[in-house]
Amino acid sequence: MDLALEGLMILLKVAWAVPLGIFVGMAIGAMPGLNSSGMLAVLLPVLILLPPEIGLIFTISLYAGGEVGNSFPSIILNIPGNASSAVTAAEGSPMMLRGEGGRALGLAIMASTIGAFGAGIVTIIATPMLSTFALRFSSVEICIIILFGLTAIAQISSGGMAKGLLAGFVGLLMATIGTDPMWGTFRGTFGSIYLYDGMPIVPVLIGLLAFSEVLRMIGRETSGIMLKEGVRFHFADLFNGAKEALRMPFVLFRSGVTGLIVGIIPGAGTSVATFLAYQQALAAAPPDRRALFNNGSPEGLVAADCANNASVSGTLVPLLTLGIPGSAAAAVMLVIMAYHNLELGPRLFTRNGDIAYAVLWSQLFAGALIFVMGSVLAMFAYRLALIPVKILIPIITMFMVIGAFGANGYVFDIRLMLLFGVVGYLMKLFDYPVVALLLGLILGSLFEGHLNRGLRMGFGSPEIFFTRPLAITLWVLLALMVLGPPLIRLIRRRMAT
Amino acid sequence: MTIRILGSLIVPAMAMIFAGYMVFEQYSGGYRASTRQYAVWLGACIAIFAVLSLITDLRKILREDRAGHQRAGADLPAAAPERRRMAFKIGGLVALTVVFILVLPRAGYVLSFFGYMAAIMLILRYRPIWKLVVICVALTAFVHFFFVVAFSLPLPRGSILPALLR
Repeated sequence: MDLALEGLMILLKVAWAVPLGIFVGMAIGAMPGLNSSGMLAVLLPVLILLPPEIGLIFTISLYAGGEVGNSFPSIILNIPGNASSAVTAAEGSPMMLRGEGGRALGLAIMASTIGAFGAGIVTIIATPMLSTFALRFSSVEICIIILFGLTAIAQISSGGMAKGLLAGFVGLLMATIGTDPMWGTFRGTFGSIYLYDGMPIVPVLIGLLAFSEVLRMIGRETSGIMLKEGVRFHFADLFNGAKEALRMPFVLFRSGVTGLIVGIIPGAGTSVATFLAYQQALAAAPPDRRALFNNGSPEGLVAADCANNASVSGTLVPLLTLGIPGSAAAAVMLVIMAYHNLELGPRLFTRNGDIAYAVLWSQLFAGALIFVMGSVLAMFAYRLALIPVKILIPIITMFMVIGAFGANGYVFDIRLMLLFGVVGYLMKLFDYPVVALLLGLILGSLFEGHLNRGLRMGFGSPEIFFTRPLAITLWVLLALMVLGPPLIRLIRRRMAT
Repeated sequence: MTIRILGSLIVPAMAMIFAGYMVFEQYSGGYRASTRQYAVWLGACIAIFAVLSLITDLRKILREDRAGHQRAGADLPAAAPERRRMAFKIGGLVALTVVFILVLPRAGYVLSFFGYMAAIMLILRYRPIWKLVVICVALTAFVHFFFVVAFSLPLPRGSILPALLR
């Protein structure tokens, strides 16, 4: 309790770092083609020179702000900045096309606020207990969690389950490019040294999601938005959207809990949290609301954005209690902590507990600020829709090229962005979900690594995946999630006839 | 209809070629059995889903053709001149990006970004030209001051501009 109060005192002294971090994160996230996680790597040399509490609080606030900021181009331009905001694009962009952009932004911002604030409260109260929970997840359980994310692909694919699974499995196979995690040999590198570390995610993401969308824009000579005549941004629409989000307490609670729990599990990531929460919202939606999913569903949008920001707080738990980073921002924070000789691992709360609690309090503070700052920035971000296409396309292309280059500093990454931009365009043209490919790529390396480790835990036998109690629980949940909705529909139909 | 059938082959064909290459590479490269098995399983799943996707698409095309419907949600315009214009613009942007990638390390980011954005706006037929130049100069300056100076992003400086400035 004393440590928590000391942490609060530290936060109050450096409270300016939170709104500054949120603002920078939102501004970067709002630029189509840029990725706040990628910019963290660029900012690292500056961050480590700051006092540790400022550097850590600024980093996590920037990350939280970036997750909200990514929603803006996702909704307004259908250009998501990362895989987790692809769901935001899938639901928010159709709403924008219907002239409900303000409502979509209000839903997204309020959901993010609730997710950040709620998860912030839980992490402050329960961090030591949550770390014990995180330790129970071995590679076996993490494999099954990743399968949750992959099955979501098939369920939300508009072109049909076969297309979704094709794209997902191609992503999984693409994830094998690089160094074999078991034997250290190079696989599928096409003779390029730039692929020895695997397929770089950021340029592929920018190509698949952003460059392909620009190719569609340029082909249609529209901004892709086709704004209704005279539609402008109104704060009233945004506030109405925010109030509408508050009228979905079950969606918010379920998504927040999902985001927090998945965020706590080391290595699962915000993408898995977002898709899982989205899948749950889809499964729980009544039949008349289910038709809206992937076509402008408020419940889908709220679920994705709430889980997104809840997982940001969740990633702090394994970082601060176990020294395990679960995200790019957490990895940057780990570097900052190591640079300043902070105790990494379980002893952090004993030796530097005040700083740890300051970081946790900062998320509560961030949650309170996200709505205000997000609403103001949304007003400016909405103007992106009003920029003529002939100026917007070069601007977006510029940001995309810089975003692709900035990740590793290789011109090769711009080539990858172009290649996957063309692939993404063809996929969109023929109704294949690009998000499935991206998710397969992101989760594939995690999945293979944990699969190998799980098999080694079971001495080569896959039985271990079906005998551990927590694993069995997860399999049952997975089966319920996948088979539950069709079974319920079948039963309802039988009862109706 | 032939074009639509051929079009529906593109993505599954790309997936199968990629999967075939990865499996062949791991078999001919002498990798361990456990590594090969993972690739083979994934390759087999890709083959199955590729065939299923193709069947789904072909059935849809045949159904729509019999009913005389246009393909729903088509991104492709119906008229041939419009399709040619669209292909020109898309192909133009792709080609410009290829040139940009080749030129960037040699010409440096200042000249490359300016030329790239100007060329994109010319393809999009943005007028007047003086406004185009002003916008491209402004954007290039933004890149320089925001990313290179403020964030120290190591964009290639090339050899042309430093030589000119010496």
